[in-house]
Amino acid sequence: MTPYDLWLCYALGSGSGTVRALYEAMNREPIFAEILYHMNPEKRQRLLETALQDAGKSVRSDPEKRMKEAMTRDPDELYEKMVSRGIHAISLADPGYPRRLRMIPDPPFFLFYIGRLPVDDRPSCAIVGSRQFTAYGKEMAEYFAGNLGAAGIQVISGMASGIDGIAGRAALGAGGLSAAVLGSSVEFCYPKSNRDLYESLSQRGGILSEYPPGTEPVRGHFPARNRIISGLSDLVLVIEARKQSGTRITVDCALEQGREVYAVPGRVTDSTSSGCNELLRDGASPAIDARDLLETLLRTQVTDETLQIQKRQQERRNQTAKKERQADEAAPDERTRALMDSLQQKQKRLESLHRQKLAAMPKLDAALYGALDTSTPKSLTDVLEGVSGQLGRRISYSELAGCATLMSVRGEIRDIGFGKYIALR
Amino acid sequence: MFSLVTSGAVIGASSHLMQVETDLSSGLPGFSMVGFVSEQVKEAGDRVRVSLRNCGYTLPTGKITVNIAPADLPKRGMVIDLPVAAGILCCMGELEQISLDGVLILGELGLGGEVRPVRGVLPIVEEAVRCGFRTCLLPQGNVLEGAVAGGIRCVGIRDLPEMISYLKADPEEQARRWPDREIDVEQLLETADDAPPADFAAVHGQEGVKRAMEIAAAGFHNLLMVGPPGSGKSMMAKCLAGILPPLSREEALEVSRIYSIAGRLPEGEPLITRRPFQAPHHSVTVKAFSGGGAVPVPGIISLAHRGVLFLDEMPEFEKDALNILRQPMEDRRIVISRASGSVTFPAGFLLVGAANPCPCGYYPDRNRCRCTQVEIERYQKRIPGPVIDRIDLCVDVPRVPLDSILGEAKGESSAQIRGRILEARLRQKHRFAGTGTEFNADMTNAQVEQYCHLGGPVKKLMKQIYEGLGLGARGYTRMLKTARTIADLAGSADIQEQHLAEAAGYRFGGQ
Repeated sequence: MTPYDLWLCYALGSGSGTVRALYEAMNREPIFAEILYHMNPEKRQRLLETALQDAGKSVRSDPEKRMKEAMTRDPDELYEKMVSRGIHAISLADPGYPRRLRMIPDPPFFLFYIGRLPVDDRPSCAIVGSRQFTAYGKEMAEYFAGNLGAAGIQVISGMASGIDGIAGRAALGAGGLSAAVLGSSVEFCYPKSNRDLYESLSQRGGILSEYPPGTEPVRGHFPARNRIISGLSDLVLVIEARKQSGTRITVDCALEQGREVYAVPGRVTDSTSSGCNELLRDGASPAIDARDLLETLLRTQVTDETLQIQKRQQERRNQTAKKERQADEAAPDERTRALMDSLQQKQKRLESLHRQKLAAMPKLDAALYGALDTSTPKSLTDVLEGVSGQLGRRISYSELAGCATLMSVRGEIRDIGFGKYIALR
Repeated sequence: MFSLVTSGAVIGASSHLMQVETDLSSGLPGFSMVGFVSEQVKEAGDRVRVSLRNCGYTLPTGKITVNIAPADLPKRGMVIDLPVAAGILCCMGELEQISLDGVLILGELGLGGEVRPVRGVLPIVEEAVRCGFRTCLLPQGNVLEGAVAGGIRCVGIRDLPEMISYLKADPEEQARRWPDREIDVEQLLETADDAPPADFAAVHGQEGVKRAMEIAAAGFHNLLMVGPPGSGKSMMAKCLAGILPPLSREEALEVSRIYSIAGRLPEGEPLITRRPFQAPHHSVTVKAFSGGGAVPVPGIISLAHRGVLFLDEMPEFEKDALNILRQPMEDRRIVISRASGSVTFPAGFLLVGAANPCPCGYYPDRNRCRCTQVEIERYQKRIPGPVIDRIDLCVDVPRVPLDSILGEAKGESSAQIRGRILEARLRQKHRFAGTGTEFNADMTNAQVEQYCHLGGPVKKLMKQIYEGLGLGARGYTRMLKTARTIADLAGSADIQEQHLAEAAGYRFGGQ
């Protein structure tokens, strides 16, 4: 990117398509921005009109005027400032622009980032969900993001509060590559509660945005940035969402872009999972096990040919392509296969331990454990009667409370606040 | 002519006796009152002169000067009508000075000569007793209150002529017409209305809260109830007032003094015999809450001394009001500072707070609660940290399922629970004898170390809890104090594992 590109971005924005139209109209000249900058204003005006006409766009909100206004600030100075803050930028004209993003209908012409851009040759998965999460959502986000991250999958999210943040942290914590796309320019950390994640991503992952430095987070930016989240990924995983939530917008973008969508099923009665369940009904794949996603991610890398869903299904059955890729990338594939095997073993071990544990638990513990739920928090007062009934004797609250503490310490149940407990797996 | 009458008043939180000196001299007619008196106090002059006239006494011509000693004690917010009247009458020759010696006189005068009650009588009379006075003349409405003080002859006066009759009568007639009122404080306390305002037996379910209240009452631990609206938190708080042990004699006097100073002793009830229960609405002003005003009066937190201060919807209170609680929860008193000095009122209340877990009240039920994480955190932060730090118990109050409401309540009655609490109280009395501490909740860190020592396996459990459940230093101390009370309730000299394990269940916050 050059200072002139930066000027053009401030003037016309990355996402409007006007810049792209100009780029095409100038025959994809790499230094087209510089030329535009020094061009005679009348000539530039005419060029704009023809470019937009050719692209089939209407001329709205006087681009020429905005370009002139943007010239009042010295492009070199702005550029210096950006670079000194550690912010990089790349444009559609660069060969290094992310391949997946290039192929969506309306890619941002300019991309700003701190840290690293997602790479083209590793699978990437978007993990999204609602801001109001439940204990179940948290557990699922940590499970999927952690396992995918450990397997070397790039995890993309919006760094929003709630599921996004949990997934981002879990992926980084598992040693994986992680990136977040913001609804502001990259130097803003929004929301403030995810400051720690922002810092970690700056150092060990990537923070991306289509907005030039100085752009504050604004409501209207978020739906737009969601298209970038799905655009950078091979697959979108929805952890927990209500119907008609912001997460749905990301899913709609994904479908438009031909990305596959996975959703974690939830209880039919839990409104917090109603969006996910709806997606499943409408054809999304259920996310039950991290291994399913891993398999899909490794076999399906988004290329030009696989934009259509039918072609993707065909390729999935294409054994030879898979074998070729195995030959090319033997090392990561073997590693991932080993990971998947160990995952399966771990799960089997956990299940058997769990059964043993339940059998070995004292009667009161087992009764309490059975009375609690893994996702809906319950109060001890509420389960007291049931537990007493099951054991056939009157249990005092103090006895139950003491038992609950000991079980919490052993990690069998957890107090999520205000005396409400959930059972842990 | 010069006369001297003793009276008294409550200034701030303490009572002071004062000398009302009256002088009658020749000169231009006039009336003046001196001695660092405020305008309101000077009003006594008008009332006294009119009521004297209306009772048939002609005021002498000449200058009347009334001085209230000591002159450096600011006098405001007090009523000294009756002593001034006595002083003037003495100067006029109607009364003998000797009849006024050793007598404390209190009372407000109406324009027709009727004597009205004043506030603060109990502490003033107690002061008089300490200073060796033999008799006090009190408004009829205050005479029982004075009698509670004990050790002094209390005479109830209905109007000005009666006071004059008394002071003119000889000792034999005085004893006959105005018999001494004896009040047996112990007896009053024993026969006090035992029925609590609400009985635990009438509460359906809610075992967790009942147990938490038992612990709170036994060790005087502050308690926070958290739950959705309509879960019965207010009713439970009233139940708590009913299981607190009865007031001791000293406690009853303490509380009565405060109510007397505040002018809140109910008519005909000279002694407060039941634990106070104050439940201010969350719109209460800071001043009404803490006490103060130009003439410092005890606030609601002082009126809850030795009783329960119930703050329903605690996060809805003004932050300033809640911050006021920090000192009293630590020192059991509140210091109100003024430019002219500071006043200390007792404020040893048991705090019972009730709160919703989030603005809508239904967290963590995500099917009903739509509050964002930020909203929840912000709501919880509305109770200041230092106040939370001094609350030992946190218990959740879930919504009662319909089955429970429809079924018969079969829990323990308040009387049964109170029995256990009294036992625990005895243990504490024995434990803290000779120290300044009264209850487990008030233990200093040194006392916690001394009395809450943990044996081997219990210590191990404490370590597990501390690390596994993420306790801080304050949480550690709180848990030990609670465990000590639980052990006391169980009749155990040492803190066992089950006591500690239960205590951990009342800690704040989850993971």
